[in-house]
Amino acid sequence: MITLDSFKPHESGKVLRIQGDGAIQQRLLEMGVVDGADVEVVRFAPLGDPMEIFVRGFHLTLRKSEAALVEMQR
Amino acid sequence: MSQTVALVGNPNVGKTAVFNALTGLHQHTGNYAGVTVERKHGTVRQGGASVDLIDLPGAYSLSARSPDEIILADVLLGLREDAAPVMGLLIVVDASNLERNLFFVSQLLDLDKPSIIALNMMDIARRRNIAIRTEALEAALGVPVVPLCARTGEGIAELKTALLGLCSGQAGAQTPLPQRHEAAAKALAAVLETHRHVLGRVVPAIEALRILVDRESYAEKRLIGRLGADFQDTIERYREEARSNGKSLAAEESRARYAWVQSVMADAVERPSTRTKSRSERIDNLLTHRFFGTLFFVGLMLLIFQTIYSWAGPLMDLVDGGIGSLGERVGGLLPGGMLQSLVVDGIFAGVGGVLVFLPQILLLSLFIALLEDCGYMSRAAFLMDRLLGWCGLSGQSFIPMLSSFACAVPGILATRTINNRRDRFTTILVAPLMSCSARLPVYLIMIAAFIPEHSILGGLIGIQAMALFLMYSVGVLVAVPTAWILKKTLFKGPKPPFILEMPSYKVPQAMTVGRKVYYEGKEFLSRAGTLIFAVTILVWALAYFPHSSTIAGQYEAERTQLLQSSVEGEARELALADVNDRENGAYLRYSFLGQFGNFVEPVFHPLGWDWRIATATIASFPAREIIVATLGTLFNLGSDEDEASLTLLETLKAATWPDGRPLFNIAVAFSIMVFFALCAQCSATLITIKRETGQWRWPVLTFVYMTGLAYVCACITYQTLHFAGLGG
Amino acid sequence: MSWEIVIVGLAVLGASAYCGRLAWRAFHGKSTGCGCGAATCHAAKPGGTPRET
Repeated sequence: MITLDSFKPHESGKVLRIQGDGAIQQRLLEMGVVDGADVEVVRFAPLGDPMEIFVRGFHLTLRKSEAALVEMQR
Repeated sequence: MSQTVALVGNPNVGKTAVFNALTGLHQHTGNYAGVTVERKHGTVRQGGASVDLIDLPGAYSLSARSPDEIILADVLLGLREDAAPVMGLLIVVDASNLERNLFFVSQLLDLDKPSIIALNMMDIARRRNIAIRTEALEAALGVPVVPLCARTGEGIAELKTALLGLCSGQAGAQTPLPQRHEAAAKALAAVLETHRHVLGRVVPAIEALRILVDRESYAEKRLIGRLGADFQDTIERYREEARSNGKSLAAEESRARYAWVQSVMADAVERPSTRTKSRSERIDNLLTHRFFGTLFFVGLMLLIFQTIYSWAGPLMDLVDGGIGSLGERVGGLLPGGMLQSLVVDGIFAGVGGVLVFLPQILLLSLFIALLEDCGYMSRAAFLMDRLLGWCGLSGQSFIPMLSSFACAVPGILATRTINNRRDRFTTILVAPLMSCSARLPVYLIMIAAFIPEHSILGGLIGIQAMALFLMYSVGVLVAVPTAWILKKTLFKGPKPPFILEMPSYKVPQAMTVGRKVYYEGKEFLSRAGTLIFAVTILVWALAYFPHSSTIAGQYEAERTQLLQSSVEGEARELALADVNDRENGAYLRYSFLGQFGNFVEPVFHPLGWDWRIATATIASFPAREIIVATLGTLFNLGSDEDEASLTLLETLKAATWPDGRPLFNIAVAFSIMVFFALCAQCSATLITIKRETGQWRWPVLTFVYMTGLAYVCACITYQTLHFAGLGG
Repeated sequence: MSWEIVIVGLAVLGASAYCGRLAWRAFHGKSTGCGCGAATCHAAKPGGTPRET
């Protein structure tokens, strides 16, 4: 199982599903990180966390701990 | 009466700019999530008709967790008594970021109200070669779509026309949601219908759906609060009923909505097939770069302090000189005595001393307004999140904290976008530690008087600007462990999430920025003209009276004796001046304030302060910058009247202890600055904390912990510097 | 001399009354209108205060 936090910059893939069912997951879903969505990792912050991704035509930042909830397909 | 239309949309879509363009009402627009906290009303007029427009906080969805989102959902559902029922929706969307915007549109259209879509930022969409066929979009959404660019005013007239005909229009297309969701929501609504007498209203199916989908949301908690904890089982039962394949309800709903969005987009929008780097992305390659981004951030902060210091200097001298000569002239017109003392020592030395800092205040607020308006704040949050993570907060708290550098009050209000109560309260309690603009006068006067004017790095950075930077860091450095302790004790809980949109960079709008700077300056001036003016008069009165005649008699006798003695010429003049000085000192010492000061002086002795600094500090409880005014008054009162025209800077440099040692030195200057960096001498902040948290104990806690910290840290600073030989 | 006392007295009385009024209004959560953060004064509008539950 690959999760989004293990992606490198400029790597992209498709969302398989989001683990769990809570407020964090729902915020991710609302922002368009839904199964089937294309996601590209843009960069990591200077201290390695958080990360910036490109999804549905806009830029979103999230922590690695949140990205770890997103199961991906390369 | 005209009908009410709600202005809704995602954050960062230019909602406030649309509001301003439509109503002509003036508010500021920011570039980070949640600047539109206050509910604003405006009337849109065209011909004889009018519509009442209510501006609601920006949000990404209707699931309500933060105070902002709760207001939004409640107003739209008609649950707030203080807002008129909403008859229609004006939905602002970002044309260059349509996909995610349409997700919210899909939820809003489900509210079944007449709606219009304002397709804002068409200029950016065109630049990115995104082609939008308006008619196709109208057909797919079932509501009018008006393309516009609020910044330039393009399309505003068309939007006005559409808006005035809105309430007779019809509701838009509904998103097909999973059958089981809708059935379960209807069933729950039917159950709630039987509790109508307890709830006092009927819960519509759309609200029932949100209760089912949004776990632990406000809507759910409110319902449980009314119907009792047992009702949780009922909700869970319907949740189970709605679930079909083990997937969470939220995932199912989002998938259905995004599927609908994609079908809408397929008909109406054409995006370039290959992704080209937008201008904003190219800028970000540098500004959020691992190395250059951090360098830029630190450089930017240094630049701000250097600018405040060196650019504002000449302006400051100009104001200072003007006030000084005016005070001298007005003082000369008045006969010597009580009234002259009030005008010269009280008003000119006090209020005038504060007014001098207007240029710096304006420059600082200009910088903050520019950073907010261009979209850099989100980047700063991105760069800093990890650092904040160490103290248990998130980048979400960073934006309110950055705003607190202008003033803690808007900073505290900006925490309304934080949905977790623990994180919100922690942020509220540490935000006042950020060095707000009211501390700037205190720093500037101390630095200008007691820090040498050297520069390092070939004249690039002055020592004085460095000292200012250091003072600004003190607040941040103390805030980190404070937040950490608060998160470990009072507000124990997991690290909050950090899911933040990075909006595209925008060229700051002169109007928006100008308005912010104008309001900041106006506030500063009105504070100087009202509160500081009043406090200065009171401090003057307390420091002038009783002005006992015994002292007057005693020194008069000494003067007479001197005049009759054999001392002649210059020596006599000097001796007379000395008598006058001592007389003024005696009046001050035996004034009401002086007696009080003597009483409290021992408490502040470890900080290196005399009673005048101590009382000036206590008197500045209503607002920090009052200390500049009270220091001016106290030190002017205590000196010979011929010297009253000296600027505050010179007066402070000349101040001594009773035994003649100079009162101020680097150690004392830093101890004062550190105290003011950390103390809670701002009644407006404390009142705002009370208002936002709803309880008096939080402002009381803030005051106690900040004052304690201020005292201890100032003490350590003074003792250390004194020990290092800088206290001589 | 006497008119001086009158002016100074009025100024001091006015200033105390003003400060007292501010303190009273602030304590009761009303707008102070003194420019202590325009936002504070705006937030004092009815219903401007969302509460956490």
